[in-house]
Amino acid sequence: MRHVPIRPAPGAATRLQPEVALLLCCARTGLDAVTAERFHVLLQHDLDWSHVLSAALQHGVMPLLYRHLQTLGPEVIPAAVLTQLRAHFYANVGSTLVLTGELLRLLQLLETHGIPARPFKGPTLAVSVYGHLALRQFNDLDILVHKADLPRLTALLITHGYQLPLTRAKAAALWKHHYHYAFVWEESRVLVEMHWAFTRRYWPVPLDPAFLWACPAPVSLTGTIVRTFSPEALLLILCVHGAKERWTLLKWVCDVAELLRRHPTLAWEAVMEHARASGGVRILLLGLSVAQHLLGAVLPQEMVHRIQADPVVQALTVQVRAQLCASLHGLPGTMDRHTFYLRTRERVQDRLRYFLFGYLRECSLLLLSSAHLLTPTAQDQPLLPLPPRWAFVSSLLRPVRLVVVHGWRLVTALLKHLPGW
Amino acid sequence: MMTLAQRVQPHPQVVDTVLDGEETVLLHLESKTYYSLNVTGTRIWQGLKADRSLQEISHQLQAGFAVQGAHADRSVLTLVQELLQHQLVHQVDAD
Repeated sequence: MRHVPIRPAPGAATRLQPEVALLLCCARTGLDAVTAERFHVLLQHDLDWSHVLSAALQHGVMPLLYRHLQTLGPEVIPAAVLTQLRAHFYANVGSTLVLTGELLRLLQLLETHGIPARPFKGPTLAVSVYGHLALRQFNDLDILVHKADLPRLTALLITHGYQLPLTRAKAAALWKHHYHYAFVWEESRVLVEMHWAFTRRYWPVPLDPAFLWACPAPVSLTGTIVRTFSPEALLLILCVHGAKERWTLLKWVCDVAELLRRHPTLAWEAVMEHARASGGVRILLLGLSVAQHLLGAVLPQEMVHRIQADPVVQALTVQVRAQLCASLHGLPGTMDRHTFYLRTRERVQDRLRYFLFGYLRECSLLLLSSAHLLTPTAQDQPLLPLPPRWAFVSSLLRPVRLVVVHGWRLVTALLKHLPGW
Repeated sequence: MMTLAQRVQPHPQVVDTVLDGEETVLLHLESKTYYSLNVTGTRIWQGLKADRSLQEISHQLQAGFAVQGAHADRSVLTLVQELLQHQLVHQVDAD
């Protein structure tokens, strides 16, 4: 496959504030000549460093920012800023070491008791994709296990100082509809998410377990070898996770871009085959497209053509980019969650499932919460002003407006690809 | 009294990460205490992790930093003594 780098659309970068452009430049482990030059130009601006640091921390790219500033521009930025950034960097180093130590202890415990486990994200992602533990921010551990092992694993972890703060009913509900249990280690409040899947049942992307558990990739964590997912499986997992979170953090885009940089010769046929089997082709293409357009990730020509052939992926890429850039600017986003989740699925059955068990379920929960439903907002005011004693009409109009506006939009997104539509 | 004939290994409850090849941050998981090693300390620590003898580590310092044998020996013994004190390493039987 021939790899094709694609530059951002002309004019796209000029709409960004220099602080945001700087963060996008830094959100990668290595800077090519063009990006390094752009980086130097941006450093000449009178930057709002407080905003740069705050956005970098929020979006999980502070270590990369620190690394590049320390290497390429320490004399240009204010000394106080570099000191503050260094403090955050070392605090992150400390935090990653605590989590890494706990991950190694956990994996040893699970292995001793014959419970297969695959860590992903967190320390293993930092080392396998970024090349160093300190270059990624993470604050919990994620481990995939077989669902059948969960009862035994739960008992084991509780015996060894972990808490699972759930009622029996809540645990049963999570088991049925959710995809992980969140354990907390009492001693140091480390959060460990034990996954049996990657998404909720109403927005399923059922990656083939045989594909996930096969061909583990070894990763050295402070000298101890652990096994994580193959790069192909990890790419799918990262794209699924990013879509589930609506790509609201820059570090998730960075994860995909860095994986592509580190593994330019992936088994793309296998990736596509498993994406197709789980109804995740559009999710995969969206992740690739976002990484390409925001961070200059290089994709094989076939993937570029697939992205260009899917107008929904291109539209979603624009939407995600706008949402992320707004967030980096400190502005609120406007992406509708339900429409996004529907549009990312190419199969009708997945759209229908989400519409029925995701969207309608949430609507019914809202109906039960009558305070929210009947409290009018500015959009619920009638066209003509009403006398005070008729003000209650606005409360009655609200649920009608919600159903008409949002329901129609979602039904449209749901039916988009039905024959004859 | 510590000598170069002895061998030590990192404590199993210690995790570490090297920053830019010049600094190592250590964390003792039991005491929850962090330590930082400079570039010389990093070389010595890497040697301990590779299960080299203290004498071999001293020779590597001499070659890498162009220092005299006595100086390198002293650096190794001083640091290892400190690492032992903080339970970051433990002694092993010599071969």
